[in-house]
Amino acid sequence: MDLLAFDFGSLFAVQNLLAIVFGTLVGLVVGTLPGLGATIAVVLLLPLTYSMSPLASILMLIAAYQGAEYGGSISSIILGIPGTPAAVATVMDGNPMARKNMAGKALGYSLAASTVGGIFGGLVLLFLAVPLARLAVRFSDPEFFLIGVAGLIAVATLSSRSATKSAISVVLGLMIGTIGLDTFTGALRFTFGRMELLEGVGMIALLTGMFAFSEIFVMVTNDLHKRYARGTASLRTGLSWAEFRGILRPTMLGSVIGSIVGLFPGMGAGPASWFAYINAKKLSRRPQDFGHGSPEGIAAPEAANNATVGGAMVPLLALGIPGSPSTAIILGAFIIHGIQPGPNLFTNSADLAFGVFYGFLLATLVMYLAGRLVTNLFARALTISNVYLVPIVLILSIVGVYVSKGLFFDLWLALGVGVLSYFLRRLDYSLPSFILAFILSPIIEESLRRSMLLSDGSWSIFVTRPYALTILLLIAGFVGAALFGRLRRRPNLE
Amino acid sequence: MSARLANVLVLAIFIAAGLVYLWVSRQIMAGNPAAGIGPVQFPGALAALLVVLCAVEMVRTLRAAPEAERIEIPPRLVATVVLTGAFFALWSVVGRFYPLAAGFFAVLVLVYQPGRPTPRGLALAAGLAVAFAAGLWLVFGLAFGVRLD
Repeated sequence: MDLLAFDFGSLFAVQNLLAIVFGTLVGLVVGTLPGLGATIAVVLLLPLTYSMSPLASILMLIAAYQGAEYGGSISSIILGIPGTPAAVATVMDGNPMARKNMAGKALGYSLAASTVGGIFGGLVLLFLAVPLARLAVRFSDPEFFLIGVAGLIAVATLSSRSATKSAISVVLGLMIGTIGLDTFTGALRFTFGRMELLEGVGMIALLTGMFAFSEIFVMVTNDLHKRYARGTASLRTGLSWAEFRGILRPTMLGSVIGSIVGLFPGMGAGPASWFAYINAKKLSRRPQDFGHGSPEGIAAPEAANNATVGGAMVPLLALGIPGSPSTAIILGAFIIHGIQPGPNLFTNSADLAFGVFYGFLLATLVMYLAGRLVTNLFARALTISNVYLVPIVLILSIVGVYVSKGLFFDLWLALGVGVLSYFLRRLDYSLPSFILAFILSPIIEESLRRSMLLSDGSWSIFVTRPYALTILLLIAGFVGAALFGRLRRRPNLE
Repeated sequence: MSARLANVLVLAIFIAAGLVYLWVSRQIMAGNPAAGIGPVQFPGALAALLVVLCAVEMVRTLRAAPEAERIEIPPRLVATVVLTGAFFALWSVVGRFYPLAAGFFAVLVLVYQPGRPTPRGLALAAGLAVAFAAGLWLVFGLAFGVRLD
């Protein structure tokens, strides 16, 4: 697994370059539009991946993911309306700077920081995924079971205001994941005689219903006639070297925070950008400028939200466990092409794995160029009324679901899931917890059952193996820290 | 409907779903129950966990002070869901995705427009719908060879 043992010429094939450029442009425009984030950008592009090569498909989705994270800052800065949840922190200083007639400069800080964050995340992916995969090759079923459980605990404790509702979301996701043919015994579980459920609930249908349809329903219930902007003045996004040097420290801080946060399932770019913003303010020489258009206040969260992309790709590629809804869809693209991400990816499909690493860095550079050249154009997407935007996104999402399996059953499923998700969102249930549990369900159940077969039904297998015991202790430490934090907060609340 | 009532209703539905799931899981024919954990135990444990968690949350919700927030079902949401369902039903019977998608697009735009549609509004909706469907065909049908009919 030599990092340089890769045919770089294959990365620059026309199809791969076109896929990166197209993915970036779609990500930018979708990220720009308030309410539509990286997940929807990736969902909308998924149907195109069926007729593409595996590398081009994955790079297109990664480019869209990256582009959407930067695109989210465009509406945050120009209008004060965050395009994605991750861009909420950017509003704090981006919009005040724009109101000082410096919108182009604010976008320049955002673009530069997003690019540095993206590259940093890409390097974390490059240098962390391979060692993690090397370690994971030594893992067996008990370790994978415990890693799955750790992912569920992380997502349940971190992703919703109510821990119980997060836990309910996790259990529901695990339950839906059990539908279909039991690979151990051939028993049919919860299929109710439907052939469409033999292979389980369609992941694309579930993801699209949960994230795209429910978002559309939210848009429909809000002010549909809102036109976010009437026109956008010409914006120059260039920065001088001195200006760039001025944001280097918060950018690096945001990059480190974003990469680390991205590694944890369920946390995502939103919390990362806030952590980065708060810490950048604490460490700044001019904290009083924060909230009034500080370049540091733009750079830190923007670097963080792009750095999470690389971080979230690490567990996906090295362990086969997605760290966010967007990476869950990218996992779907791997599966569409008959490739299972995980430790064996680096031996079975090494060219693809390294192509993804280096393509990720290339996609970040393309995002920078696209941001410099077409930010003006994409800012104009804000002039489209939701009256037209909702039908466009809805029909594209429908195409995405249908193309995944060619089943009308999946369309009905996505619609039902979309309606249910709309209400669950309103009631503060955690959709990321649900979806990650759904994906982890077969991994957890199968590893548990195989572990019990290996140990003749003895649970001691989870404490007698050194790797398993280490993971178990890490889980215990994480749970202990979470409980301690909760107990410490309680007296303050009362 | 108040948010509290909606919460209680959803939790009651989840408890019922957990019990049905548990009951159905008991009907699964386990191939070799002696060999470790079979196909029944994992779902059974999940169902039990769901019921317990929902019961805990329900007690907490009922004991909490009533929230001012209300959960409404706006008519536009109902219209969107019904029209989407009608589009699926028609598409599955008739085929011909692109003309139907154009029609669906136009109807949605008209439903979302305030007041009665004007001739100009109708023409604009129709023109955009045709252009959008043509764009879909160019990308999916022609460039990527995706079959949608």
